[in-house]
Amino acid sequence: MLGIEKIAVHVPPGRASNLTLRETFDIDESFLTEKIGVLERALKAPDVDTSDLALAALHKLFEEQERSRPDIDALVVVTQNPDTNMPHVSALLQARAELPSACAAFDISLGCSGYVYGICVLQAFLVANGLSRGVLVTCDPYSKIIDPNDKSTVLLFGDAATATLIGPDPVLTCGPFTFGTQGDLTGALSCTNGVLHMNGREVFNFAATVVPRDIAALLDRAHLNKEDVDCFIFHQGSRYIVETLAKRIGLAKDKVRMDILRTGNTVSSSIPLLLQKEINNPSVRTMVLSGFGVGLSWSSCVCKKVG
Amino acid sequence: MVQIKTLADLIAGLDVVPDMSRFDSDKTFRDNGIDSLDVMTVFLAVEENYGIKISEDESLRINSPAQLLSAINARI
Repeated sequence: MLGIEKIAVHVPPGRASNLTLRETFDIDESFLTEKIGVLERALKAPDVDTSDLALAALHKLFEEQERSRPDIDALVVVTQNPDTNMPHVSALLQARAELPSACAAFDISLGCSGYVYGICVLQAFLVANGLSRGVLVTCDPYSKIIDPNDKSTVLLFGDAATATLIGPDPVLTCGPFTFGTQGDLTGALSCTNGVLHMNGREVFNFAATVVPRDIAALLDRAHLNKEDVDCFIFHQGSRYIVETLAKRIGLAKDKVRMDILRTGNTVSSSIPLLLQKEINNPSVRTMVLSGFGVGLSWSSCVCKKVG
Repeated sequence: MVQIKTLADLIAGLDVVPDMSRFDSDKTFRDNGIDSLDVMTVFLAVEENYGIKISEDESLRINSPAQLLSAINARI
């Protein structure tokens, strides 16, 4: 069975402080820490592009798993902020990471639901074609599209990239999956003329109502109860939305992961950033991942430790 | 017709007001200690509880529990 063999992450060293924006947006530090949950945002350097961040994550993956590089059959990049519209970022990466020319490479255009979708797509692609190893990269640097004067977005988003190796010797298996789309709400989170726009209330209502139903459907499909799950990793939209989900689903706080204080919401990278930390946590065997955002789109899955 | 006490009870149950003994429906949400994120929780609870929808445009004009009560009663 295929599953996750390893996760590598790259968070750029640059930081943008939210504390310096308190006066501009008439907010205090407790609002930043207790409500938004972000004190500073990870920020790529201006001359660093999407493929550079993604390559850094890939390099970290291969530093620890060099033997895998020649065996990579597929490379999938989840992004909506590529270096350019053409070519796709995965093609740039395939060359720069010196992956085999037989390696399939394609991008997936999804936002915060992209990691969970990506795992399912890559696993299915490998199985359908009798292939054994692939890498899923997430890299969506929103600093490229943020309006610095927009309170509803500038305090939230950070830059990061992750690389997840899918193969036949997994430490985590993933499935079943659930998916969904509310395309009638596309306007709630969109990018026009190179600038991100977010209707916070619409996105909040969507997440607060759709995700709990989706988690219930997922647990039902997996024949699990909430109590069977050791930890829930929701997309880290904000501290407020994660806590709202925990409350509405009825989850104990210690089962719900939350960590965006020093990075911000890193879009499709937020789930693998947290999932990586749980791989070596012996008290966690069964997890639920749930991503939701641009589309509006959502996807959830169960992850179980192997062995 | 929804009474202000009913709405106040609904808001109290959301645990978003630091001190309900000082709750004043005519004061702004902010002056009642309800910040912009908690306002979203209040609106969602109202929409779910009364089966109504308050548009984005109208929500931007509603700044106090009393104004929210008027919006509810205009719909039910």
